[in-house]
Amino acid sequence: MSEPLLLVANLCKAFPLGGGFFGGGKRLLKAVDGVDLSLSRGETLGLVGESGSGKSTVGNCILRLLDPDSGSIAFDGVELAELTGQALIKARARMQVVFQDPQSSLDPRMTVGGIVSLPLRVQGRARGRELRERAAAALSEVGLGPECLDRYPHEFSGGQRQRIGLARALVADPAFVVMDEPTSALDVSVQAQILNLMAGLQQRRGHAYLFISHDLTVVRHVSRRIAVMYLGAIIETAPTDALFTHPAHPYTRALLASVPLPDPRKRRNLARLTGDVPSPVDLPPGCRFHPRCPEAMAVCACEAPPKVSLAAGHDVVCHLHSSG
Amino acid sequence: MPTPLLHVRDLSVSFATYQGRAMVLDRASLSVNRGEIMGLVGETGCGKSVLSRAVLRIIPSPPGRIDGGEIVFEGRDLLTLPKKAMRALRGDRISMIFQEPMSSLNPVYTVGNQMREVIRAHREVSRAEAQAVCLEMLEAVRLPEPGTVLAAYPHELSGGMRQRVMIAMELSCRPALLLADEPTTALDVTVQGQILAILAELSAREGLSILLVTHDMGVVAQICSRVAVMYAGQVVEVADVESLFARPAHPYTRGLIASIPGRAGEGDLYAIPGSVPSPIDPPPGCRFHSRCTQSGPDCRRAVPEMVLVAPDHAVACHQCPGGGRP
Repeated sequence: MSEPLLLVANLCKAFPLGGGFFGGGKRLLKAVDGVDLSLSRGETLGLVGESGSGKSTVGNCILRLLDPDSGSIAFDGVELAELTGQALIKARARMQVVFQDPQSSLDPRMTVGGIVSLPLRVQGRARGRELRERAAAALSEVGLGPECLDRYPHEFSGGQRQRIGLARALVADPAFVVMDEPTSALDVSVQAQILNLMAGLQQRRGHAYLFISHDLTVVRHVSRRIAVMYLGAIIETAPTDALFTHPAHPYTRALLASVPLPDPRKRRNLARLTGDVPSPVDLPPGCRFHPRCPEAMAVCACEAPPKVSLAAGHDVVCHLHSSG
Repeated sequence: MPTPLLHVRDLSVSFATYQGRAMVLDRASLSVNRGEIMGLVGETGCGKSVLSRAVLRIIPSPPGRIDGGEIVFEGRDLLTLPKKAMRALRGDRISMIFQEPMSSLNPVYTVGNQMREVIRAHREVSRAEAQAVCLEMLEAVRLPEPGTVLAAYPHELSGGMRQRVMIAMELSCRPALLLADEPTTALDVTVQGQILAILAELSAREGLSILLVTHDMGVVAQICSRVAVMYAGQVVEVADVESLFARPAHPYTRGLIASIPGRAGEGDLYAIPGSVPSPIDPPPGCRFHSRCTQSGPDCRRAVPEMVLVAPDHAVACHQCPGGGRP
């Protein structure tokens, strides 16, 4: 097996919450708590979880948009976690990102040509005429014509803006793109256009995607492997088919059972879990899922569960599978 | 045939914009029967929220204007009702819940304070009696420790709990009709499941009618009994939920269902080409014709009428057998 393109080990990121006015004790919000990930060249890994599970923080740490507290991020053999300045710009030249909200992720004062060519300018890889030509080439790959170069983001619809975001990600020929909820703000018919476009680009260019989403049906469609996050930790990783046919973690099972299937002949009890996701400030002791878990045992409340490998590439972090 | 609880007929609504008048609803018709959950689906900007707001007459005017049609509820046309009678109806016979429960609750009053206000606005009851109704309603939406919730401020509750408080508040006067505008869109999928289960249970147990506005075909399939599909301000198809998913008649409905990912299929998803037209200058004839793979010359000329293609299944399309003109 070839060496993975991206290898993340024991990534941690906590955000200090402001203390009280009189300087009460600072508390920590553990957004990401010991995450391991690996991604091969040309692969799509889906990262799913509910709001506040830390999935976007993982993406932002990998890109070093946030500085991780600890852990290692090896991209193409280079350790990113400690790099700064020019060395960091050089190391992440082949990483890109597409954000959820196509409204706020495009500068309203820049033309589309300026937006799309910005990665090349930042990296000093092109100048003058060439910038414009490469921007036009990237736009044509996402189905937009060269007449868009001198227009502004507000002149485009949500789906078209997300195409512009994709063009910006592609222009520098990345090996790896973080897709942070790229279709969550779009309607389903437009979402289908963007997902098809992403798949086509990957086939031609061979880049890898980290696809972050809360929507299991979308993740299932695009990913070969899926990692499920809950409160800052990955609780199950599996090949897509295995995850949907044999989900091992009770949270994954509940998550799959809560998806409203678009088929009126398959109605089911959607209320599989009670309660809400607890606050990541005061994590429950032991397994972080045990207060909501329908199968919790005594051990779950006091001991952190171990990671168990069930099959090739199928890992679960749960006491139910540890003593088998 | 029983008379429907709510009958919206040929409702047209427009909004003044700097670019001109936007025709947001164009002769839209639908009905909600007693005790059923009626789904109203469509994409962003199709007018589904405006329709539900028009029923309560809470469209800001100006810029909004109801240009025509009627909204018959329990035998009365709501559009001709005096303001005072309309006000008495809101929150009593017809209630509404919105997508974002935080912005629907007042942050400076406790939950109990806001719930009692609704009850005492419509009923001559004492504070203690109102309190008892509050507790009963909070239990009905399965909130643990209802006494604590009543004393809490909205920011102390999670998103799912807030939406439950909204449902409890809106149902405290036992309305006949609940308008639910994307009630679970802001919630996580496990919490969404809990809220949908509560709505389905209340409808079945209390005979509550619900008009559920959503963009999510999965939500529709799971809890609605009938569905109306809207496109660009027009209702294009109305059917019972089994027929709609098994035999969608309108090309737009077919595209909408086919573009849902995750039916285990590999390869490309079906994508409807193009994008939704502007409501300021909508295309003539059928508003979908420019994106439709089956459009013919009739589609550009005349607006198709709603025609029954099966019992309880109506569609507005020139290309459907028997469709288009009566």
